[in-house]
Amino acid sequence: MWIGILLIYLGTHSPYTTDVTQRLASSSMQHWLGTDALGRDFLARLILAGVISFLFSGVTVLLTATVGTVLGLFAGYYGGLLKRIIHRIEESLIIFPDTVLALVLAGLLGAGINSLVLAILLIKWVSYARLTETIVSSTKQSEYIWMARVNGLSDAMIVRRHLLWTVLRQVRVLMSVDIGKIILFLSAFSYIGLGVQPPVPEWGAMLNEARPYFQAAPRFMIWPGLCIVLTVSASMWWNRRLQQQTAKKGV
Amino acid sequence: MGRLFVRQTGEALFFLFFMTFGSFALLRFLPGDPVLTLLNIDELSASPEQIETVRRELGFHEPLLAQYIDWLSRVGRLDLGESFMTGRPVLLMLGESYRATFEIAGSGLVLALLLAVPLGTWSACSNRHVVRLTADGVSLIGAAVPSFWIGLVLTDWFAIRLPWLPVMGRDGVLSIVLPAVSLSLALASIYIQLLRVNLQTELAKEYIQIARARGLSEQTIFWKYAFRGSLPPVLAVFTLSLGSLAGGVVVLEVLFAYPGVGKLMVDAVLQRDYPLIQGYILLTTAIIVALNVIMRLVTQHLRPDWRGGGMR
Repeated sequence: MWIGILLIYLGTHSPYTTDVTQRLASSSMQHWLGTDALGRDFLARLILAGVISFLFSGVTVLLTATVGTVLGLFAGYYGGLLKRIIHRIEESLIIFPDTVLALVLAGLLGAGINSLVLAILLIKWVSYARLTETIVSSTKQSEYIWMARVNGLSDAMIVRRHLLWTVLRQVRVLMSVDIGKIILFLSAFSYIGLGVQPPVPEWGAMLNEARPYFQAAPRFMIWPGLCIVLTVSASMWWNRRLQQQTAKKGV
Repeated sequence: MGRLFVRQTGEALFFLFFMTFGSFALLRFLPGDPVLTLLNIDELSASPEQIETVRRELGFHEPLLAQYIDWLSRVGRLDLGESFMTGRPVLLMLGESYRATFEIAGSGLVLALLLAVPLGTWSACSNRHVVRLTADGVSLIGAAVPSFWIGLVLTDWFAIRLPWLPVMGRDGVLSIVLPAVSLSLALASIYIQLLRVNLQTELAKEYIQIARARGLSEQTIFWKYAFRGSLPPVLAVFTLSLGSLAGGVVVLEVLFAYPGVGKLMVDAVLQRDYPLIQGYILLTTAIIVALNVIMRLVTQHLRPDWRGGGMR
């Protein structure tokens, strides 16, 4: 319901319309949280920033998890040379810290969201692939897979029917915490100007834009920061709940 | 040990070659002509002849491999070229900013370890509620609160409301305090969790029970066995964060206008200063790869049975 109210608010207040007469206005009925230095509605920008962060993070996590899970399935199920090659790639990528890689990619491809997505994808698929591979290679030996094979099921059927769901249950746990981490990452890079580009709002970018006005209006510092903290904590809390659920059910 | 070292170094060199050549080729094939960018910085409209002259001067007209070999031979003479932005040698600029980064990263890391090692070990072996709560609290703050926001809030309190510390810039020891503290909270959170989890798994293992049965003192068991045994995974992550710090404490350097590698690179990226970017890729990759070789050797020494390459 809260999300509904916020979205309606976003619908009635444009986050881009500038109004020079209303610069740095404080809270009022018209602008619930006041306006920023260009007279844009602050709450509307906060909400849109949240939507953007979630979309970005969600899409990136889905992409990363898909790539990682598919490669992990192959490595775990078939093993052999393919597994060795995938391991090799994993080992060379895992030594790169995500900020360094993002910086390098931004240097090569230019600043912007694309470089960030690519950097996250390159680093994070490894953990999904490893998780998937571990599960697959351990369940592969179990009796029911053996039975399925004796009964003449094709490899694709075995993977889809039996292995995929076990894997996805675990992958979900990893995804839940990564959503928060990616939002954190995005806000940091937007803060330094290498992420979401203006005029599109993002919490980190908003903090940077409003820096000269913190003394006059502390709300510019408090609200975006609080939004980030709450979102990331929510993602961590969700992760913990999923972990407990999965642990209860057993793998 | 010797053979392992040779193999690791060989791999590392190959990797370095791969990275530099890859980035080199990528830069040349991507849209966006570096020559035009260079000329645009001067805010002059360049004639086609001028563009051609600069292109020749920089050697961009030659085939890719020739360019790379040329670049490599200059690297061999410790010449990384000159920055587009300032015209100063890249190596000099990077060297200066590495020093600045080292100040923040080093002090942040020391602070983080001072916070994390006691809290992590203590919360692993004590059942007292207070200890656990503190450890959880610190690690939660570090994990959920972005370090740049901590930095902003700290600046607001300790540099503006109470004018004790400088707001930004690099001016003496006091200017290191705020960035280092902001950094240490983020780092400490990782290590507290990691130390605790690994110590607990290690303490639950059978050989610890056997050591107890043999009548060794709790202290010996803890420090000689459990602590040592739990180090390799911690070390792997530690290497990762060392590498990450070697690449610059990006966000905090920008926030506090501290002239470190991270800030330098952000500027270089925004200005498309390719010689600087290329030099950064080379040096940072070299540092990261070297750190990993060292980490593997140390791990081998600590626990000969532990052969994992990363976190497994």
